[in-house]
Amino acid sequence: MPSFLTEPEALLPYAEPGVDPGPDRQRRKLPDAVAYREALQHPEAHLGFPDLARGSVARGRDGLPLAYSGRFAVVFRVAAPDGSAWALRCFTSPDRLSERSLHWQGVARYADVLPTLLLPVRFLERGVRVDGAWYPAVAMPWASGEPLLVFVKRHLAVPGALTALAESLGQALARLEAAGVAHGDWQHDNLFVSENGRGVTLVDYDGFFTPDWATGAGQAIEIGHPNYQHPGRNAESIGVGIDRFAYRAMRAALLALARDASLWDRFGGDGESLLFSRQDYAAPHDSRLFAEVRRLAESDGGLADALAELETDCALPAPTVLPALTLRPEVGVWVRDRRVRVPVGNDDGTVPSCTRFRPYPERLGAMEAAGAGRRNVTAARAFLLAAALSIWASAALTGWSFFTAVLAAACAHWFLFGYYLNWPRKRVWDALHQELGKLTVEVAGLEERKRAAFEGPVGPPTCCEAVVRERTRESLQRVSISRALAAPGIRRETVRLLRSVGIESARDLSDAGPLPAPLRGGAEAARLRLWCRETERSFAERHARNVSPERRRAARVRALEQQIARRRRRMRELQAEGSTIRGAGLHAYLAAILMGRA
Amino acid sequence: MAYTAEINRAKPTAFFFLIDQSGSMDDPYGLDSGKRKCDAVADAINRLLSTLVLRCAKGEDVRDYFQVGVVGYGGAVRTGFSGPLSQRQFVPISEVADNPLRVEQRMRKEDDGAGGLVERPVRFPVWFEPYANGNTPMTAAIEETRKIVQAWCELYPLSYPPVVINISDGEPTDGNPVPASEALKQIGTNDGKILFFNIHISGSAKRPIEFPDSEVGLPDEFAQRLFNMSSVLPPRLVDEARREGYSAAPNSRGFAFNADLRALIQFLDIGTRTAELR
Repeated sequence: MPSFLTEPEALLPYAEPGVDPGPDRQRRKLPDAVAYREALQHPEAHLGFPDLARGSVARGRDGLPLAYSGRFAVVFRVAAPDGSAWALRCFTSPDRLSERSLHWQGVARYADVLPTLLLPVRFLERGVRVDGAWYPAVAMPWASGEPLLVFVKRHLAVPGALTALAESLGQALARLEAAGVAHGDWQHDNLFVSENGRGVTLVDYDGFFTPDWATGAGQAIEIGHPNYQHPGRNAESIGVGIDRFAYRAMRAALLALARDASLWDRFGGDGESLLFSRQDYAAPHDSRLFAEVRRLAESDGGLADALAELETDCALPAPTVLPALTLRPEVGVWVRDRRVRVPVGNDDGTVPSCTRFRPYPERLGAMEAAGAGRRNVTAARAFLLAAALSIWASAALTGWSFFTAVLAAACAHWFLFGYYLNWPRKRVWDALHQELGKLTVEVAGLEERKRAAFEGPVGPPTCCEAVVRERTRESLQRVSISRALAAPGIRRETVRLLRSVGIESARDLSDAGPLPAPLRGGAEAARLRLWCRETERSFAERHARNVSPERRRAARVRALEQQIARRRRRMRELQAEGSTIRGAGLHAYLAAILMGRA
Repeated sequence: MAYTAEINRAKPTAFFFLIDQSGSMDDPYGLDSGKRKCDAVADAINRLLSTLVLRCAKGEDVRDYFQVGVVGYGGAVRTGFSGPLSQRQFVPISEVADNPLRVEQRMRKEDDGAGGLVERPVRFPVWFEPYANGNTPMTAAIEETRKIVQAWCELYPLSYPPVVINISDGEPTDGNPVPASEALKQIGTNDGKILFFNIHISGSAKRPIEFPDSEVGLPDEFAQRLFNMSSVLPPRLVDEARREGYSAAPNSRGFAFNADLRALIQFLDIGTRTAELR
């Protein structure tokens, strides 16, 4: 394995520009394919990883780097100095970019579990530099073998190769499912075939599903190539088993082609599908292709089985996602799988907390995304118009009478309380300020208590005596009676005797009335009492030091300070959040209504 | 539902570019003093063509998901590319890819990573030369485009509707272009009406605007008129624009001010579909 996949990334051959790949990157627009292609013309200056920076990029006839475009990324082929070929995948879509590094770490883990089927991948935080800024990229070895359609076309006259390929696809699916993962986009451009149909490699892991990293909040970023997916597949259909439909479509197509290669020219061969297309799945009974394959299946049991499975799947309203293989978030384990157990959660072993409220700007964003702001402003506009009309009508009919004034006041009241206070931006703004106000009051109260604690009387020492006594007794309880052996002149027999009458600890000794007969009055009893008193006194002194009134007061002040600091911190957060919300005053609202700047 | 046709090689979609080449395009562009508007237009269209080519590229293989047509207007209306692709009203993208006028070496200044600037030669394919001459027959150009687009739609009735992109500084000399653009927007395929988008190249140094949903805030009457001529983005493209971090709203239009709308090309689903926006 080339060093590339394991070597730390930090070894940059030149000084780092002051570009912080911070949280803003999520919103930053990524370079497009053209910008990446320009950067790749000088790998030595624009690639972050030394092996790649020293490598050479595959170029076309016009001298420009060859690009392989997809919806989310563009791929370039880079030859490292040792001659190995690499695929460098540069992202062009910022969709969930912040989650990508975790996603690819998850994929990388399974690439180790499923060698040859998956290629080892490496997420590079500093993959490509475009216009002075670093962008992440993913590097993986260039897939060997032929793309699916090229292989099939070359082997149309070799039915054995096609059935072997169908078999290998089945094994590939079984391996994925056993590992508890799914690829999500089985299609002709993502499957590479080698060893005469006996080796299969999957590339393009943008839609890869891993149990610990369910792409996003259990939602898929893409839903696969329509000519290989169930028509009912949507963002929610993600999970183990999502590749079954594509596999069944491919198996039926391969077995049918093995029986009758002429299907290729009549139904496939356009580079968009193997045989079946989206229209075939949507209406298998109107499909000429399905009819042809059914006819072939009359004399081929394997094909008949494959076709029946595909038709059964097509009849379902949605693709199959294996139900038992679901996550149990509370324990964070993959329920059914026996081979791979990956905990759910952050890399440091903690489970992400869900208890915090969403920040206010996010809440506002969600409300506005749902169109609440626009609805409110539109309704307010209509209301203002109606109010103006009715006031005008009233004024025209009754003159500027008391009734008109009341009507105007009612309208203003209604406008303020019915519309303005319900304007999402105002509501979020108010909620934020309500919390801020509550915190301010609380902080003032706490400050007052802190001052009182600080300035008030220390309190009589007696208030602490009971505490000291109690703690001393607890400590004595933990001192075994055997420890008395350490004191001079105490014999083992004595300790044994004490134990026999139930005296197990220093506290028992201290509480005990008269000692058992053989000891009573003896010098040893006096020594025992002395040891007990000494122990008790040392504990009492220690505890008295800790619970002195001064200490108690200091601890109390510290606790209050912590509470105040916590509230202040939250207030600063709120102020920062508030500063990102644009004005929510009445004038801003009126501007939104009149000028349409919602 | 409109604007849902799958784009594939049997059912490609098309991009038609209307390029303002009038004398006014000789004016300086923005604050970038050395650059004229027609240079900015030539750069924008060459880059858009590169984007289209790359969107369809699988290595050496450029798949014909798109067809491209161009209409230039400056003094007169001229259709077609220059060079080997001339005399063609629309050209498959693979032929566009194979036949640039030339591949230029441009020097690009960039951060050398150590605080300084360094110049590096960058290869840049060029299909269009900057050109500025005569008056601005935008209305005539839109009418000419309508005929070409009409012909295309009859050839590919099942395709995703073609996208027409007009790049101009917005000062026509042959009357009001609005009726002509309304007529253009009435053409379509079975999958919906064509999409007419406008890119306004302006000498004013205002910040770029993309996909606005109202003419409020646009710098001048020309920008406002081009905005009003532009098609409203179909919901699917709005979703995609939002997903990509643009602030698009349901009635955002395909209009850009001093920007190049190249993101639109990325938004079209080819092959793998994107999931619906949450």
